[in-house]
Amino acid sequence: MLAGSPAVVSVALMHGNTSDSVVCVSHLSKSYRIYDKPTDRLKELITRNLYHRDFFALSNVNFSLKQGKSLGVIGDNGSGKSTLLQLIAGVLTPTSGQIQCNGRILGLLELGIGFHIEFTGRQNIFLYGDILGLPHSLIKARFAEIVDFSELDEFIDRPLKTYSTGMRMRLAFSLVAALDPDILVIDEALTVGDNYFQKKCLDHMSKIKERGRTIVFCSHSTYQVGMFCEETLWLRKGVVERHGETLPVIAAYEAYQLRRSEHANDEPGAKYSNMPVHIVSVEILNQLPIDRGDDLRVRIVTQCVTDDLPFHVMISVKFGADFGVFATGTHLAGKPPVRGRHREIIVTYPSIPLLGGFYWLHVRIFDDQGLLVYHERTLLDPELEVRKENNERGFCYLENRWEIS
Amino acid sequence: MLSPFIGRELREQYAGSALGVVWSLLQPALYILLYWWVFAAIMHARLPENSVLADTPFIAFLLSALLPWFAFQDGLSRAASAVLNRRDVVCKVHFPVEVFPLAAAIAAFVAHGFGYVLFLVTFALWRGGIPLTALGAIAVLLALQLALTAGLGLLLGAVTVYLRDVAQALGLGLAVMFYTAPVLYPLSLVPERFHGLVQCNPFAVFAEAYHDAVLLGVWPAPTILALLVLLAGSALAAGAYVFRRLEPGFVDVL
Repeated sequence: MLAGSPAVVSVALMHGNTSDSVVCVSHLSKSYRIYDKPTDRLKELITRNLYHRDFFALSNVNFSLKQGKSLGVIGDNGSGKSTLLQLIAGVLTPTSGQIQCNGRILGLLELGIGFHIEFTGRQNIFLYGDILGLPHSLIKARFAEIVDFSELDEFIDRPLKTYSTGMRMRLAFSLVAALDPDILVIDEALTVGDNYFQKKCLDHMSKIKERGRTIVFCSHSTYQVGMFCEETLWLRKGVVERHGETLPVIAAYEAYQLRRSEHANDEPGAKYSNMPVHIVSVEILNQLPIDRGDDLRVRIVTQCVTDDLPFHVMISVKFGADFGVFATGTHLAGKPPVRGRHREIIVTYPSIPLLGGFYWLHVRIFDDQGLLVYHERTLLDPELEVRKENNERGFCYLENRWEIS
Repeated sequence: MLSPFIGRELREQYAGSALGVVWSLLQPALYILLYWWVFAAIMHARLPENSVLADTPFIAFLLSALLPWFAFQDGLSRAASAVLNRRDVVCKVHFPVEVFPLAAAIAAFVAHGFGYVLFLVTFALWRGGIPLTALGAIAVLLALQLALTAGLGLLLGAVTVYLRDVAQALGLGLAVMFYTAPVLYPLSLVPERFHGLVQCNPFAVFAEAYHDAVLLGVWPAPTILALLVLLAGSALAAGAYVFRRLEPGFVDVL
């Protein structure tokens, strides 16, 4: 809700020169008491024996955010993102540490809080306004604008239960859009609704940003965070893993996600133990990180039990958990199968068009039909890192030419 | 801040039902009819011959304290679960949560207040007027009762968040309060040795005061009035204190 700044403490801030910080978080921790049984909570109240364990949802978080900057908060589920946002929005009380916010905060941890399905869209706008602490006069004055933004003109006097989820979110966001907070705290509220409306919401957030407002934005989409935020905070198990300029933090987070998914499907070595062909090693010959346009060279060493067993070699460049960027192989390229006890194969990708990020290689050996997998090997360490560039998005550079008339 | 939520509380309870707000009048009306049927039509309950109330019709006696009781009962039970029922707001929006139990208590008063005004007007017409002193006393009593309800509502609303059992216990507690208070029967029918016990029930004191004010046009005795003021004041203070102490933990528990 639009609240007055909660107890602005005098200028005893950290991080050196922070006099122009709008949001300043210092040594912030939040712990929950975990009880095995609900009655333990009561027992503790009465007997004063301790029955709880402390669980730290957030420990010792420090950052400060300057006026007009946007902070992205990323991390896995349960990493403390929502807790941090709830604390900044003033819904949760910190266990220790301080949050100082200078200005009116609008916390959108969830859109449409307080909606009642039996009431009409019109009534619900006012109900939502009550929850956000807006006077009816303000909503009345802006009502046309709000309905216009929601594009729900013909539904506005129908009960909310006839709305789809997306329509409800539109209604909620259109009221929010009419507000002008100093600090906007948004928790993935935008992941609902159709693409068209998502865009509208993002555009509106940009507008708020352009007005010099400060935004704290939490999202699973590293893409949106990358587009939107100058600074990013990566939380892992309640601790700040990395904080700083967005691009490097996002790159590190994506790499971490990848490493994690690798552990999920560990090298199934035993499965191939009695197969005739083995991959001895896979190696990137370039100095890492590479740049877009470099010639990428990969060396694969294979070993076979006999001299004349034909086999095919396939190599894929992958991204994320198992997203293939490009795959090629001797059989796919129409080449004859490889034979021999010891082989060293060098694959070169001339002037590779990959964009900044972390990739990995997946090499597989097939039989002469390209059907049976003899062996496979992934190269995750070191990762194939391509240096981030500022001005492009995606995996792959596509030549492009523009004619604007 | 409070007024939109009182209106909302009133409308929301019956939202979507065909009769809407009419239900908030129908429900007490039905109970009144049932009590009247059992006590007046079947048991032929009469007020004691030699008392000052001897010529008062039973229905007037019944309504003068029953309608305030409805407001108390409804207000308290709704306030007790008000925070719990709004967990989405408590957890997701920075909001003065005390608004919910307060609005619940007040909304119940507004809803039953209509019925009470209707009763008072009818009673005044039948009797040929009602003394102004009576109206003043009734207004003061209602205000004190509202303060008591709000205070207890804050207290129970906060405790219920931690201890869901409160809602169950409250139902029983209210039943005990109702049947031990002289609402369905006059205090003079209660054996003398139980009077002290009955007076422990705060609503018994209120019920007697309503009878005196409505039926006899008499203000409560100064000691009774002081007791009620003390009761309402301490309930408000205790409610506000407990609520403030427990509020920071609401989100952690909900």
